[in-house]
Amino acid sequence: MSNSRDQILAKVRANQPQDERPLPDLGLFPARTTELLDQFMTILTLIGGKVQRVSNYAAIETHLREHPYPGRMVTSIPALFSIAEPIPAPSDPHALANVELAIISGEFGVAENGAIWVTEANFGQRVAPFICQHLAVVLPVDQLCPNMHQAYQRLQGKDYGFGVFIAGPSKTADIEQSLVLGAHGARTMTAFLMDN
Amino acid sequence: MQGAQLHIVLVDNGRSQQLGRAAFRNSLKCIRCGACMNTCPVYRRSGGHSYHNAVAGPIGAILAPNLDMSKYSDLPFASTLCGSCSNVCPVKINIHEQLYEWRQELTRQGKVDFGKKMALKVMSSVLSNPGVYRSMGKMGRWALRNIPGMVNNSMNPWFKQREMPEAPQESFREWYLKNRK
Repeated sequence: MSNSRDQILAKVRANQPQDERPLPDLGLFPARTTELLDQFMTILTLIGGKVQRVSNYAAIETHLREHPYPGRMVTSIPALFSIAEPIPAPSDPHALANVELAIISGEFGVAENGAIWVTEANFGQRVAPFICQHLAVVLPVDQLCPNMHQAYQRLQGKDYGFGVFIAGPSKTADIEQSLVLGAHGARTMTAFLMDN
Repeated sequence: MQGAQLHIVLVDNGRSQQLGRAAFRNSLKCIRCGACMNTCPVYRRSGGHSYHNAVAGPIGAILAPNLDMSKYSDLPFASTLCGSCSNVCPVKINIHEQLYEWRQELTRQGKVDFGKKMALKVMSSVLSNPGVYRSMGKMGRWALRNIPGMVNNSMNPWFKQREMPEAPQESFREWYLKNRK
């Protein structure tokens, strides 16, 4: 009982509910469709994202040369260093203040809500996917899971410092239900679904 | 980030105590979303400051007596128990039931003042006795019409900031008995 931490924890221990029942086993929620790719593309488009099917990194480069972004482009993917500069080492996040397009890699996508799981390892600098005006995520087309239940199961035991699901561009409608894209993050989000 | 430190600061603020109150433990689920306040007919009229506590609204009225039963004994009574808060609560706290529980607990602990206790006793006997209820209603309507000074004075807290309503000639029950076919 020396410090306040011990006092708080002792009190919490003493006041534990006596009538607690074990949590029920809900099992895994089954997928609603086997057409994961169709569902993912439909949902991501519906929530304001763009989807591009590509066969390889060269196709991404071609696409970006045909639809150029007017400004600085950074990427964490070495295969795209020919078109975008590498994201600088995590020292000063302000160095990314004027980034127009950030291209990062995604771990896997979730078909039911169009979300893509990305971790620090995918973009080096935590601020990278949020500070950019436009965001592009490269996702292997076979890395899709049906729903969030299965997504979280997939994350069990994974070691990552910071990870986040990104679903489409930044959206907010909390002021008078008026939808604003890009108030807090990227104004557009493109998923490059790449064949293996 | 590799090599970085993470510090967690524990803030008790009465939570460990509320954990021990079986009837109110559920209130610890609160995520402070404010949905109960937005929907509360009392909060929407009275505003946050009337709760004289950092957390206002229906959830505040449950959390505050845990911190100080004497200081916040009035809060659980300032509710119509309409249940709108419980209905919108995203984490399904039984807010209006806990408000009702707190009223009983505060009364048991002797934290309710004598006037309120007596008023509730009178109200209970009037409302549970239809004959008395009707004749009291009749007397009230008559008094409002004929000797308004009896209620329109500073002894009546309801008169302080507002005009008393115009008393109708008959109650709904009287009208209904006359008009039902």
